[in-house]
Amino acid sequence: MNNLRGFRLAALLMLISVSSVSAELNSAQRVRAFSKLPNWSGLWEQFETGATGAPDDPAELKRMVESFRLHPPYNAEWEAKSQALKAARANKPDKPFGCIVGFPAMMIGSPYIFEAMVTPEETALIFSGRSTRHIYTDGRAHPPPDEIFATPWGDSVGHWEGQTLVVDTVATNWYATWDRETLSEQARFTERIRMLDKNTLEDQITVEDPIALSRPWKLTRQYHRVPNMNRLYDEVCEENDRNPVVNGKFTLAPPKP
Amino acid sequence: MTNRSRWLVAIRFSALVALPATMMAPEIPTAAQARYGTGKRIVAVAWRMLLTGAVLTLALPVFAHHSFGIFDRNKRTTLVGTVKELQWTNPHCFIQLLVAREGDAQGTQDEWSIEMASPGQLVRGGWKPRTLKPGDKITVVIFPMRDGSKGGYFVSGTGSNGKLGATPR
Repeated sequence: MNNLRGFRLAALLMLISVSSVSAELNSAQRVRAFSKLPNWSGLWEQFETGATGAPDDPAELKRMVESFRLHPPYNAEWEAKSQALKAARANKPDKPFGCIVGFPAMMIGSPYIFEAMVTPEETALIFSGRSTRHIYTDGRAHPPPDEIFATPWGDSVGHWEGQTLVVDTVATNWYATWDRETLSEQARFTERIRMLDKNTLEDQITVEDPIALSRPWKLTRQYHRVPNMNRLYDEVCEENDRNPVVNGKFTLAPPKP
Repeated sequence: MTNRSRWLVAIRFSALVALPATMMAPEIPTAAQARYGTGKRIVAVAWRMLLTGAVLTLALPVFAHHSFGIFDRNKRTTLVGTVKELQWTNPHCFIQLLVAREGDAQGTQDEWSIEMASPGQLVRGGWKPRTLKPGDKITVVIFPMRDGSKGGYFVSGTGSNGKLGATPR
């Protein structure tokens, strides 16, 4: 009799144990959701750069230059404001920047490599500049007006239309281009990101800003698989900085002892 | 220099500097390169502005965290020397290169600091932490410092096994 009780107890404990393990596994529903998603795993880059940090190939270099020379289609007021800011900036002393990067400049003309991770709830783009773009696809909305605040990457929510990720982004406070162009707080970004082939991602970006732009600004960008790297290396600003500012100018310091 | 071009070369976003398109111009051997031999500092001033025209003032971000204005991107200097150290560090790697002082009969060597991209970017460019070892004899082309000090930014280099860090396709 005692043996039977012991057996029942052991069976019950096993059942509880199995239940708790299965609770930590992906549900069949989540596995099905995964199976419908494209596999973007891996490392991606916009430009094929060499050891100098710029492309070796002249055609690739041209593409990079063109991406960094972009100028938003400002209305007259913002065009004047942009030119005035540039003129003011030209005479300021050198000043190091932090490591912050953001949207949309990083998607429009990125010198960084990024790793893509697609899950049913979120697509994460992890950039080598130690910065991650989160695109939530679990049906959540943007935070309400009294809770949302601007960040470098803004707030991105998305949904899948087949194999295309449609993203809506608001509340960015970073640069629109590498030319340090900015947009108003009402800027809104719609993207359609899809895989053209196993080695190519495409992002169709539409920028709408009723305050700063004279018309919607449409851009298409492609990212290519990095052929010779199998892990992401972080870019760090602090480790061995040998370019201190002296008398308002950057310098090259001798090696530290 | 116009405000626009001065600003362009002063781009210094986080982890970004400005580089001219001229750094990608093909290497053109100069008379100075042909004249001087191993162990000499070969001053190879190439006025790329004339060769590359309008693209000169374009700025290209690469990994760095400061202005690129300290380097004279209109000139290229070729150095032949012995590696003292490869600093495989963020935000920039550096080659510390011992170069025989030109015209010095005593055999004095100067230490040059050659700034490069970040470790991650060098890996992308086909480099490894041990691509260079102390004692290696190499030839490097740099954008020299504007102030004439013994330093510059790496453009290209060759060692005993050929080009340093060929980009895999």
